Amino acid sequence: MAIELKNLTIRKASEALKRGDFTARELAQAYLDEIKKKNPEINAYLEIYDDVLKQADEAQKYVGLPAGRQGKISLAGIPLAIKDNILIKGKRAQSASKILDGYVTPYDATAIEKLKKEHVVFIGRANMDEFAMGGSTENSAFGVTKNPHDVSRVSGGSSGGSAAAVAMDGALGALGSDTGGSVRQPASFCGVVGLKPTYGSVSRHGLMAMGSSLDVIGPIGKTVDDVEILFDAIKGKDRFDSTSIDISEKIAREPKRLGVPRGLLSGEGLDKAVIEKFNEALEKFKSLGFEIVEVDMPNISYALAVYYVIMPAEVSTNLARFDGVKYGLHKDGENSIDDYFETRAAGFGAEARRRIMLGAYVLSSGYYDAYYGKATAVRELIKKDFVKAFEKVDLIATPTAPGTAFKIGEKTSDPVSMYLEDIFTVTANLAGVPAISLPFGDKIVDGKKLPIGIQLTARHGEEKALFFAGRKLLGEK
Amino acid sequence: MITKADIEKLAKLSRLKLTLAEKEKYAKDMDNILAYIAQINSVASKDVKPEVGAVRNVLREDNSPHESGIFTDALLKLAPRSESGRVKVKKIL
Repeated sequence: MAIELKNLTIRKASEALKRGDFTARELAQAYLDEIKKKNPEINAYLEIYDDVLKQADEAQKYVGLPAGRQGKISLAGIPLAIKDNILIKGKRAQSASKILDGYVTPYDATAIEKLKKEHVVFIGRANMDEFAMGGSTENSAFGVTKNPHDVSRVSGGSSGGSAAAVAMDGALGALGSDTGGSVRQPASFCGVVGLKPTYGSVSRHGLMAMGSSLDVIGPIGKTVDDVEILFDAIKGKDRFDSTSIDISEKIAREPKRLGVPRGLLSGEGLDKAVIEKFNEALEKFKSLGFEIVEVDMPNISYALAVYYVIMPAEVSTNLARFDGVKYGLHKDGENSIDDYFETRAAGFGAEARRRIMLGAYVLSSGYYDAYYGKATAVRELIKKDFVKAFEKVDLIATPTAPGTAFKIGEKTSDPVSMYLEDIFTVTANLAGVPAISLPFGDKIVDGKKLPIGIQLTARHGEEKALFFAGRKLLGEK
Repeated sequence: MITKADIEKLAKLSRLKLTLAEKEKYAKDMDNILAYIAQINSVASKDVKPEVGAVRNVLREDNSPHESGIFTDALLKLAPRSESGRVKVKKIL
């Protein structure tokens, strides 16, 4: 029996497995067949695990049994793609970097451990920008992930492989990581739903660190419902991550007031089609009973500049561990310190090097106060902007990205133009608040439909408000 | 203005070997990026005090550690070079 993958969701698949419409093995095989057809061109996966069917057979034993968590839908047998910077014990993981060639992970990330308890099926590791640095997956050491909607364009990044895997029917859902928009922007480009959870709500244990005060693991799915199901499965306080927190299962009241920071939407470089769709989404929210309120957030226009100080500072620190001694690649030099220079030169790609050096610069004596100190202070002002705005409104709406998926190679020569991709998304990372990208229509270019994403941002720990409003906008039950 | 010498210093601090072409490219890139970043200097932030958030350090007290050596093999196996229970590097002194 052929399984129709196009309209399949996690919820539908879980119910179909329970009814016995198909087995976990048949479902996994259907995805493997689709991947075999599409992945050679799209390059969403860096590796398909050789034990997928074995995992599926094992998962089958738990199909139909109640999920471990009360009242939740069973994830037994659900095939997922996992970003290459999240550790699955005994599997390779290398953040799409040559410097971790040959690395086999010694433990499970907490998010993975939780999914294993639910008996999901891990299909393979998804492509990404090297160490999650980029907005297009063009910084992967293993080639770009092409956009399933138009293969001449990028899938976005850095979690481009995760988003493309879901969009091309290569998995029912995926995990990515979001430091400045890396789940939401590729979700927007690929026409799927992507959540950047509240900072700390999902443990970072087993996620390769990029910007530790910004990083969070986030789910990608075809529907808001699927993303909520995955988020509920991976969230929670964890003894292995001192910054992890529990967030509440319920919100005090339904979100009603939607804030729009118009000041941020007047900048140049914003695609007219994106603004039109955004305004259309606001009209739809209005017709659904939401109130649209303009909010003044004077400091968020500086968010991207602040981010490009704080993030590289943390990158330069976090990536210092890759030295050819403890794991991964080793290149011989003349002496011990020369080994570092040789290994890091051979292992890191251009963007990783750029950010490591930028981080070293902004942290240097003499520049520290002017850059890192200043950026930290402005970050506080941005947080205050959010606190103040959320006194007036329940959610803040913007487009997810300033445009639709761009052509492969279009932005590679100018780092700043690539960085501007993150202009609407970095704010949530700096403030630690949750945000979701929702697919809302598309723009037709050269006969191809390029998806457009709408971003909603909520108060700390109020993911449920995002899910509520997201379901309304997309017409999900 | 970032010079080639600046890049050489940063590369040294960052333990990166760069080619001449890379140094020139990075000097230009860094100039553009720093020009973009400079806008944060127009924000008045003199009296900003960081707020203490919900995030707290929850590290345990440094007692009752796990049994010594139980992770040694698994972790050493990952090192490019090891010898008799240790990571091996070249002679330093």
